Amino acid sequence: MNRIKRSQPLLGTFVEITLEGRTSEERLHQDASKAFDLIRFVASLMSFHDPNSDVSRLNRCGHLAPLTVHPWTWQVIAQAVKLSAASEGAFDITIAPKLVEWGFLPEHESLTAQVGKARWRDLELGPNQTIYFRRPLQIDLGGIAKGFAVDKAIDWLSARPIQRAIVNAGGDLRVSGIDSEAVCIRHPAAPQTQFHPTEMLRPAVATSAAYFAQRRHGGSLVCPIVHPETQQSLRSQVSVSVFAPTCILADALTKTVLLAPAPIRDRLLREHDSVALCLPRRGHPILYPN
Amino acid sequence: MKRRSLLKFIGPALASAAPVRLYAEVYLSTDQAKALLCPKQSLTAQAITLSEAEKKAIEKASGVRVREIKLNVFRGSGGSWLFLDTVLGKHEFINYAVALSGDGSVTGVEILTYRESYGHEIKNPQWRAQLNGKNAGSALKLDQDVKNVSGATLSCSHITEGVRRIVHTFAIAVKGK
Repeated sequence: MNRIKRSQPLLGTFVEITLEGRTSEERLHQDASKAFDLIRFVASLMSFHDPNSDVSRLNRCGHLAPLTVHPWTWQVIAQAVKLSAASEGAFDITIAPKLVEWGFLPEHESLTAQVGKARWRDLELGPNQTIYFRRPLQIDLGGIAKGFAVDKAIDWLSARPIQRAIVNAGGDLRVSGIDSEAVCIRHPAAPQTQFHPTEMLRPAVATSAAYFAQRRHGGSLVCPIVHPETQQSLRSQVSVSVFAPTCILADALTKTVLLAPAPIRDRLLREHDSVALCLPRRGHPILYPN
Repeated sequence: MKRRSLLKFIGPALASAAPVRLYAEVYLSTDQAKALLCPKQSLTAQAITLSEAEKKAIEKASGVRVREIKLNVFRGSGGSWLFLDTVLGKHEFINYAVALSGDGSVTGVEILTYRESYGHEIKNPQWRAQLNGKNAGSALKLDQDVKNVSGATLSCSHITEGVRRIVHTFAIAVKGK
């Protein structure tokens, strides 16, 4: 059995691909390269930073007329809107202007005051892969596109003659061909030196927490996890990992678990056959739904 | 000043008291990276050292500080170029390879070794020196139990900056030499 492990800087983070198979190492490397290409393509469609991405096109003129986007972009936005509705707005891709204001995302053009008031309900999914913004707004798929990219890579790798595949995009991880696999979750008390070992409870996992991304804004510490209604940054130092059947669900559900009220959180996790592992800075880990 | 010197003593003591585990990975050897990024090309090492003027020009054009003036660069028989480089981030120490086409556009980036580190380690020149060799992989002591790490997303901005520095280094000091 041959085994390879590669890493490339993509989606603003480090993407790691591990493959095991009976084919030659050269063939495994070719498969990994193709999987990296797929992830690079998702990034080119959904990057907030890239002015030529579907997301940037929409943010510039999605409010002027319905725009046709790539089927994958449409699919991710549709999934986001579905989760926004199900979580009663706890998950919302229209919080981008707040992230721009706090310096987590680049400012492409000056935002009008109107932009900040828009919510997910102002997104209209049209026929033939069109998206329309009912008012000027900005979307950021940073909380869902990484998971989608991992799914695309895994879908492709699963169809190859490969025994085991692991794709990890900066903590958004999915495995294929593996019955049980260990995973180490960074502990929020010391994210670089303490790891909470656990098993993959579902094929995919994603983690959200405030460490690594905190910065000062107007004298207070902010992180890119924002409550869509209150527009307040998450204050808690808890780490949330969601284990789900797919990585797009795991990725999006971490924010929902962090921000939604308990009954909505538990209902959503159950509906999607998912479980959430919460690590507080101090004290014992908690598993939801409980 | 007093507080800082105190921290110097407390820092390492604390680190040795608690069981510290760090995440580290060796992905590719230099030869594997060469074969992946410049397939079917023979690569020849180029002895290039940046002059003070070139260093300044690269820093100005890329907006990134140049720490190493001796380049680790190879010229491919098919016209490609391969740079081996190191970046030291706030949280990580990375060896990576960048392939450029003859006109200087990036055709591939591969991470060779990735090692997480923290505060006092990074400030220690001896610690840095042991990782700075050509085959940094051999100096890494891997904790095999820490794998498949999931956590809040770590930014790769230092690599992005490193690649930008290399693109400008190529244009200013390598191309046409």
